[in-house]
Amino acid sequence: MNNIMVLGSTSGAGKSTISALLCKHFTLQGMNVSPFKAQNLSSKTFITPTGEEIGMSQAYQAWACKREPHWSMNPVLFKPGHESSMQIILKGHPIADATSRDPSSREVFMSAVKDGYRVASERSDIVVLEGSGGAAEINLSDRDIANMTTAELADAPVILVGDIDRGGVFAGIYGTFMLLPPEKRIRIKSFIINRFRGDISILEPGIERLEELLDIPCAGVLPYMKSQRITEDLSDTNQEKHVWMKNLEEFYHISQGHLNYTLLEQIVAGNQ
Amino acid sequence: MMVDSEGEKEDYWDKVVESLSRPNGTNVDCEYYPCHHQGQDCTLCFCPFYPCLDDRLGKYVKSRRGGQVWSCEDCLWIHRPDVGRDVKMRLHGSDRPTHNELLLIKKDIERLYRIRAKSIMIMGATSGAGKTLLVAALCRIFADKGMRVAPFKSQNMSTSSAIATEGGEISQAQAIQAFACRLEPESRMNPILLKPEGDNISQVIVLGQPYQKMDARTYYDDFVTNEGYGIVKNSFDHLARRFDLVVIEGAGSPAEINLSDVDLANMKTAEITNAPCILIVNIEWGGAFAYAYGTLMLLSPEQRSRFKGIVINNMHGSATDLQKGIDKLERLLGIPVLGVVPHIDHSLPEEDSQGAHDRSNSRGPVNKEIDVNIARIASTVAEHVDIESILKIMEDGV
Repeated sequence: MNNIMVLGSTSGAGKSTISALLCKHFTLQGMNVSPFKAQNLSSKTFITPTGEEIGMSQAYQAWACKREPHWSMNPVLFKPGHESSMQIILKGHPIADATSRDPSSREVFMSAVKDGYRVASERSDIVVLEGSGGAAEINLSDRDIANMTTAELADAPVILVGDIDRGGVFAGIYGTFMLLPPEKRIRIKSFIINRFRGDISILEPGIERLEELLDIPCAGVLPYMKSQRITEDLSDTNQEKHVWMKNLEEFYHISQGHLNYTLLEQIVAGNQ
Repeated sequence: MMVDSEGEKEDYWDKVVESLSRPNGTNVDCEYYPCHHQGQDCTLCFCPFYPCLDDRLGKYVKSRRGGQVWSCEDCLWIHRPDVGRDVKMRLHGSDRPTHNELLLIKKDIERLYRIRAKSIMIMGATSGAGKTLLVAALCRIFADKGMRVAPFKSQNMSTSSAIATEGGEISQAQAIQAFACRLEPESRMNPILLKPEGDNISQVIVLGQPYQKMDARTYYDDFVTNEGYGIVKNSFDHLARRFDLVVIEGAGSPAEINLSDVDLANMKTAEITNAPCILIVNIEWGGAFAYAYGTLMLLSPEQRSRFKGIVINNMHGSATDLQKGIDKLERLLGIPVLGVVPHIDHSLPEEDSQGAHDRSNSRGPVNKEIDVNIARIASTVAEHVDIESILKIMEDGV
């Protein structure tokens, strides 16, 4: 099975958008692509044509693949309700009386993730997997489902994304990489710096140093894009889809000059 | 001020007594004011301890007649308002003490008012980590313990500025921190202010005054490596000679490995000020452990050794889930996590918010609002951060 997984050093690093770019790229190459996010925490959801509920960002990614959204693309969904309640949606359907803190529920979630990934991969030539939050939350490593656990389940190569807009991106990528145990670290084949503004020549010495330190190549520096964050608060789904697809089209076009897609293809092919 | 060898002259003591008889504080009517700096205390215009021969405060220079004379023109300690007040009180109504008796008084007073400030520096793993608020909180906490505290940020990039007492422009964040110390803001607290003007160009403000417009490359390649260092050093030295404690704020992240040679605002400032450092990291976005670990490990071992603790900031919900991660981070880095600060709602102006400029320059009700916010932030920080350990870190130094 060909696949690739995008992990982040924080939440909001740009995983969803970069996953969508990869979905679009491989779809344009004539492949049948599926997005996959094992576990999502979002109040923004989408009901598939067959009546299953998944995270909105996987619906977008499905459209980037020119496909209908499907439950297998996001088998575990936590949907915050009012006050501190949390609805748990497994394989597209809400389940009652489960809390995410119950140790036995991890088994239940993992089984949904496995089913989801199996179905997603059966329906596709290539699966683009997206992690969740920061990939090295060392306080939660034994509870991880959506990051390295999923990468191992799918035996996927990983690219790590860091957001430079807040500064500290080298530290974030280096720290995320180094806080993972060596056997997991070796899955990380490349890193991407997202939301860069300014003079790239000033950044380059840092990228070279990080490539040396981690012994993996940088797959690109994506520029800051305002439209990157337009996923919230449009009430009409069709209108929203239209806007988002237009943004993705534009961003994909721009990304050609910044992302090393050849390197990413080689990573998918297992040549890195 | 330099008084030649007058200290030994008969009438010198008369001048001391005369200056002590004037009201305390700043004498703006004096034709020499400000002989040291704006807002200096003039109670001890003629220093009773002259010549103290304390090489932390003065030095021998060549006199006009070719001999040696003790000069204390660089001494700012005697122009601290608390020193002026205390010395005046101790000398009030007494006959002329002998010089030795006076030096004993000086020695006693030194224990209360430091001749050179201690310092501590707060650096962030990212921008927006919470440096500014932690510095403001520490300023207020230590000021409330009776120390004379000043904030310092060598270089700030911000569009919102405030007016310093001398009339120049400093960043609004340092003005708020000065307020937290119950001081008037002065340009030395933020000697270099970069006001972005778009297209990679910034207006560089030095000691409150417009200096030059520069692009990022000119700033790093020319300014920082030439005049920048001296500007930072002189400004900090001035504060260090007038306060018990200077709480220093870094800028952005100290681990921008593309800029490590030219990063004046973080590790260079830590070296100039010889400050022990604390790293603050915002946990709201996730990845806090990775950012803390990565930041320290990308520094050189000498730089890393300045860091004595970590503060985790902006925690929503319970911190008990973090303990395993905290234990592991402490083990890996060999320094303690000094606290987990919860998310604090406040109405202090954000660093780059529009319209913030007007707020900090007005007086009255707005100041009251700032004061209430600072007091709340300080008490939350004091509740969740190990302040005793920070005191010890300051005491032990690097």
